[in-house]
Amino acid sequence: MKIVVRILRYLRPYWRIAVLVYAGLIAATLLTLITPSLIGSAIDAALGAEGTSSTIFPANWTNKEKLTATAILIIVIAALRGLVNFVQRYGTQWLGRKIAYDIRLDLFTHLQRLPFSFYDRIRIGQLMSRAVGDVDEIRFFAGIVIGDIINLIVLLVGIYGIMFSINAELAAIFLIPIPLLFWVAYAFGSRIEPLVSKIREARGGMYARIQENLSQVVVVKAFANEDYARNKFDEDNSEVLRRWLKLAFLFTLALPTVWFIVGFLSFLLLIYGGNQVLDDEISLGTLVEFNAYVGLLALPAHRLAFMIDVTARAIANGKRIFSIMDTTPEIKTRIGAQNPGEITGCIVFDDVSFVYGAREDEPEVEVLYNVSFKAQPDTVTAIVGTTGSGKTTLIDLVPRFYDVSGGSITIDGMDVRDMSLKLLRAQVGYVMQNTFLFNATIEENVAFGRPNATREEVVEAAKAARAHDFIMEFPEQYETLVGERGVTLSGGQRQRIAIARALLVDPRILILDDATASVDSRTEYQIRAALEHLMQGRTTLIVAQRLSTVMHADQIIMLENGRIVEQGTHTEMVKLGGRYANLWRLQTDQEMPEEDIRGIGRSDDNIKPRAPRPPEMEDRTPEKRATAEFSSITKHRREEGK
Amino acid sequence: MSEAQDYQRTRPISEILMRLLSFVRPHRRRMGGVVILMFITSIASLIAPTLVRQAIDRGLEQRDQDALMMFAFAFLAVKIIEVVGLRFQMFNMIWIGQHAIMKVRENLFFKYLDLHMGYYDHNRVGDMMARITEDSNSLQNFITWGVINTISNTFTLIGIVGLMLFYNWSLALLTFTILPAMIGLTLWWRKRSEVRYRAVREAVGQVSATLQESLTGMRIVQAFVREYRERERFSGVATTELTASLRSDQLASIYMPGIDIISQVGVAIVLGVGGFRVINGDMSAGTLVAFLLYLEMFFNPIRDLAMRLDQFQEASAAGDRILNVLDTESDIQDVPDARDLPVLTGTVEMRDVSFKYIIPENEAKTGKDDAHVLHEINLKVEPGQMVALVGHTGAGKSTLVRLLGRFYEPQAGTILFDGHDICRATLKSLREQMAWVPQDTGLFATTVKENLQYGRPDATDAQIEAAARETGAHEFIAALPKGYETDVEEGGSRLSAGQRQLISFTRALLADPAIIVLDEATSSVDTVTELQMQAALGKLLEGRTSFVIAHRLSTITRADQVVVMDHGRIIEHGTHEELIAQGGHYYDLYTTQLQGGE
Repeated sequence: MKIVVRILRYLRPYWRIAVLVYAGLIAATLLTLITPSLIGSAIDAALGAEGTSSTIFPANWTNKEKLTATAILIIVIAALRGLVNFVQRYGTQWLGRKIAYDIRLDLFTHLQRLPFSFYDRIRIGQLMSRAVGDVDEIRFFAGIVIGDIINLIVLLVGIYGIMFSINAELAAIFLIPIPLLFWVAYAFGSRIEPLVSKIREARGGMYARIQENLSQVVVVKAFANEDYARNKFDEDNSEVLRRWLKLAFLFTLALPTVWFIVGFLSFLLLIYGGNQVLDDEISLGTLVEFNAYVGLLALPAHRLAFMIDVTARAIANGKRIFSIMDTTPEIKTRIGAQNPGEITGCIVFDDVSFVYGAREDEPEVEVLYNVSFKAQPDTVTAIVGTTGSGKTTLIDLVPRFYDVSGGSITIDGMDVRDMSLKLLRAQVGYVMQNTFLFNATIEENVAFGRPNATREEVVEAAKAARAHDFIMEFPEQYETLVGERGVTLSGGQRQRIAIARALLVDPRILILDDATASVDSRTEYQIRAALEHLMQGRTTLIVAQRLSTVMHADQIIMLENGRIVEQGTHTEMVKLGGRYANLWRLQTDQEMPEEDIRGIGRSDDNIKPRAPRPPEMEDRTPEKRATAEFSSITKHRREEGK
Repeated sequence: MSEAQDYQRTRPISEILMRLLSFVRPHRRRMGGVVILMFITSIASLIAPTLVRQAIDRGLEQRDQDALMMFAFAFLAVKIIEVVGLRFQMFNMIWIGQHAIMKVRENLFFKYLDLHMGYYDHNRVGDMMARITEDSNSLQNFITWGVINTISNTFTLIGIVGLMLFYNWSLALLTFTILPAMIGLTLWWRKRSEVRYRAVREAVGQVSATLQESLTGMRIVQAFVREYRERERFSGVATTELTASLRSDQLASIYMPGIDIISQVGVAIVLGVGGFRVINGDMSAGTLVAFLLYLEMFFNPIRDLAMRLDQFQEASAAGDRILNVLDTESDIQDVPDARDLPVLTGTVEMRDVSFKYIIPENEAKTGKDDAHVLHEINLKVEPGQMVALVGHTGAGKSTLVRLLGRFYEPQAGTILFDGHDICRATLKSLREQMAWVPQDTGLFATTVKENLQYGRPDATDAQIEAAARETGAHEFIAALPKGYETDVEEGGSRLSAGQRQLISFTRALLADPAIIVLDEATSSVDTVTELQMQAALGKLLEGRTSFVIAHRLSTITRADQVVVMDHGRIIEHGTHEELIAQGGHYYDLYTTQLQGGE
C-alpha cells in the first residue's frame, strides 16, 4: 500500500487534470448505465406494455413517439459518451505516461548521484530493466488500471443500485456469482506473474546460450562439439515449452471460466427473470435491460485478472525502483564545502585506509592500509604492484569515486571531502583502464568534458594525444561516429581519444589507470609519447603493470596487499634490491624483450570480429517478449474494456 | 510491423505458407480437432442469441413456462459447450503453436551450427539471434492466434450476417449500413496507428540506447562532471518518446469511442425501426432482442481481422527470413566419399595453398576486395614440431590456421595431414584430433568442469584433475568456492584473464589432440602469472604438432619453425636464430620493436 501511495504521489503535480480525467471517467460510466434502461423502455414501448422502466417520457406520448425519442436519445448519449470517453481515455494514458516520465527522470537523476561502489555491485542490465520495463508497468498501473478500478466500482455500484431499485429479488440472485468471479480473477491474476517470470527466465537462459554458441562458434566447431551444443539447446528448448504450456493451461482454464460465469448470469436471468415476466412482476423490457447490464459487467470481468496482475507487478516494481531511489548517495558535496579555487595540485595521502563494502549487505574487504605519500605539482607518481594490490582503488580515492575509510587525502592542504565535488572533479583528468566512448562523433567524444570547446581546441588536444593522424584518415574525420553505429576503433585508438578527452579539460591533476595495458608496443610507444606531453605541468598519478612504462617517474610507489612496501625513484628502488628490483629483473629478463616484439604478431586479424556483445538491454528482451506474447493473449480482452 | 512492411520478400506468400505448414504437419490430427472445436464454438456462440429469441417469443410471449425453461437450459448447455470448447481450442492452439515454434527454433539453431565460418563473417550474431527470438515469436503468434482466429472470425461474421438476414432481411440490411463506417474507421485506425506506432518504437529505442549508454559510461560521466548535460540529453529523448506515445494514444482514444458511437447508431436503428415493426406486428420481440445481441457480437471479429492483417504481414516476412536461413547450404560439408582420418601422428603439409574470402554480392560494398588472402603457401611440419606464425595485422596468420581446421577451403592447393587430404576427410574426425586455444579463450557460461570437458565430454574427474595439475590450473580451481563445479559465468567473467587462459590450455590438453592451434592472448597479465602461463604452454605443446600465432618473444624463440608472413605470403622461414642471423624482415621487426619498447 505504501508503494501504491508513493506511486500515486507522482499524480500530485497533475491533480487538476487527474480530477478532470477521473470525473470524465465516472461520467462516461454513468452515461453507459443509461443505455440499457433506454433499451428496456424501448422494448416495452414496442410491445405496448406499461413497463416499469419507461418513466422518462411524458405519459401522454404514444409508443411510437417514445420509440423514436429513445432511438434519438441513444444516439445523443452515445455521442456525448464518445466525447467524454475520448477525454477520459486519452487522459488516463496521459497521466500514466507523465508519471512514468517523471519516475524515469527521477530515477535517472538519482542514478547519476550514486557512487562507483553502487555500479560495482549492480549489472547495467538490471538497471535497464528497472528504468525501462518496470517503469512501463507502473505506467500501466497508474494510467489504465486505476481508471479500470474506478470504472469497475462505479459500474458495480451503479448496476446493482439500479437493479435493486427495479427488482430486489432478481438483483440479489445476481450478486451470487460475483464473489466467484473475483475469486477466479484473483486466483489467476496472482499466478500470472510467477509463471511468466519462469518463462522469461527459461527463455533468457536459452537465448543466452544460443548467443554464446553463436558468438564463439569457432570454439564449438573447433572442438567438433556441435552435438553437445544441440543437446544443451534441446533441454533449454523443451523447458521453455513446458513452462509455456503451464501458463497456457491456467490461462485457458481461467478465461473460459470467467466467460462462463457471465453466461451463467444470462441463464439465471432467463430462468428467474423469465418467470417473473410470466408472473407479470417485471416487463420484458426490464429483462432485456437486466441482460444489457450483464453485458456491461462482462467487459470489466475479463479485465479483472489483468488488473490484479498489473497491480501486483506495479507494487513489486515500485518497491525495486524506490529502493534504488532511497539509496542515499554516500559521496556528495558536504554542507559548507568550499571552492578549491586555482589549485597547484599538491596531493597528500595521510595514513589512508580503505575498506570496501562498508554496507551491511556485503562482506568487508580491506583494500588499503595506512598509505601515506606526497605527490608534488609537476611530478609523476607511479603506482605499481600485482593484480589486486589496491592500485586502482588508490587513485580512485583522489577524485572521490570512493571515500577513504580512514586518514585523509588533501589537495593543496585542503581535504578533498571539504571541496565541492563538482569543482574537485573538474580539476582531475581521468583516463580509465577500460576506455568508454560514447556513440557520438569523435569530436563530441573528445569534447566530452568541455562541450563548448572549439574545433581548434579539439584538434589540438587530439594532436597532443597522437590521435589526430588516424582521425584524419576516416572519411568523415572528426565527424566520424564511433561505437555501435559507427566505426570500430582499436584499443589503442580508443585510448588515445580518451587521452585527448582528458587533455582537453586541461586538468591540474591527471590520473592514468594502466592506459597502455592492452595495446601492442608500437601503439604503446605512441601513447607513451602522447602521455609525456600530457603530463607536463600537472600532478600525475599513473598505475602501470609494465615497469618499463614508469621507470622515468619522479617517484614510484610499490603496493602489496594494500600497503606501500617500497617507495622511491626507479634507480633507488633497483639499487634497494627488494621486491621492485626483483620484479624489474623478472620483467626485463622475461617480459621486456618479448613485450617488445608483440607488435609484430599482433593478431587482430581474427577473421571474424568478435561478435558484438548485445547491449545489456538484451537481458530484457526475452522478458519483454514473454510479456508481449502474453499480452497478445490478453490484449483483445483488455482493449475491449472501455 | 514496420519491418514487415519495409521488408522485401524473396518468395511468394504461397510458398512461405506451404513450407511453414510443414512445421504444423506433425500435429495435423490435433489441428483437425481444433478446427472441429472451432466450428462447434463458433456455432454455439451464434446459436445463443437465437435461443434467447426463442425463449422470449415461445416462452414469454406465448406464456409457456415449459418452453421458457427448455430454451433457458438449452442456452446454458450451449454456453457450456462454448466455453469448454474454447478452453480446449485455445489450449491446443497454444500447444501446437509452441511445439511448432520449438521446432523452428531448433532447426534454426542446428542450421547455424552447421553453417560454415564464411556465413558468420557476413552475418552479425545479433541478426542471427533475431531469427530465433523475434521472427520465431511473430511466427508463433500467427500460428497460435492468427490462423484459427481468422477462420473463426470470418465464420462468425458470415454467420451473424446470415442469421440476421434470415430473421428479418430488411432490418438486417438497414443495420448493415453501419458496417462500412465500422470497417472504414478500423482500417483508418490501423493505417494511422501503424505510422505513429513506428515513431513510438523508434523513440523507445532511442530512450533505451541513451539510457544504456549513460549508465554504462556513468563513471566517465561522473569523472568529467557531465551529469547535467547527460540528464538533459536523457530528458530530451524521453520527451520525444512521450510526445510520440501520446500521439499514438490519441488515435486509440478516437478509435474506441468512435466504434462505440457507430454501434450505438446500430442499436438506435434496431430499436427505432425494429420497434415500429414490433408495434405493427411485423416482427417478434425476440427477434428484436436477438438483433441487439448480434449487434454486440459484430465488432470484435472486425477489429480482430484488421489486426490479423498486420500479423500476417509480419509473420510472412519473418517466415521468409527464417526460410532464407534454413535454405542456406553450408559451404563446408563432408564430401560424398569422405573417410575418417586415422589416428594422426601430426605431419602437416601445405602445398601451394591459395585462398581468398568469398564475399557475397550484397556485401561487396563493405569495401573489402576479393584479393587473395593467402598466396601459394608451402609449409611442411613434422610431428611434434612447433610453428610460430609472426606478422603484422592482416598478414594472413589467422586465415592460415583456420584453413588447417577446414573452417574454409582453399581455392587452390592441398592441405595434408599424415598424407591425407583434409578436404576429403570427415570434418568430425579432423576436428576431433585438433584442439584450439583462441585468443579470447572462448569459455562457456557453465561450470569449470564442463568447460574443461568441452573437447572430451567423456573425461573422468580424475582425468580432468590430472590435466589441470599439469597446466597448473588445479590450484586456483580448487580454491574457487565450488572447486570444479564453480560456474565461470558468461565469457568466464568470474575469472581473471590469466585464469581463463589456463582453463583454455587445460581444455585443449584434455582433448589430447595431435595438432594444436594457439592464438596467443595479447592482454597483459602480471609477471608471476606470465611465468605460469609459459610453463603451462610448454606442457600443452609437448609432443604435439602446434601452430602458434605468437605475440611474445619467449614463445617465438621456443618454436621449431618461425614463419614470418606478410600480405598473405611467407616471406621468411626458419628458426629464431637463423632469422636473426639472416638480418632480414624479422630482424628489422625485432630490433625496431625493441627500440620502441624502451
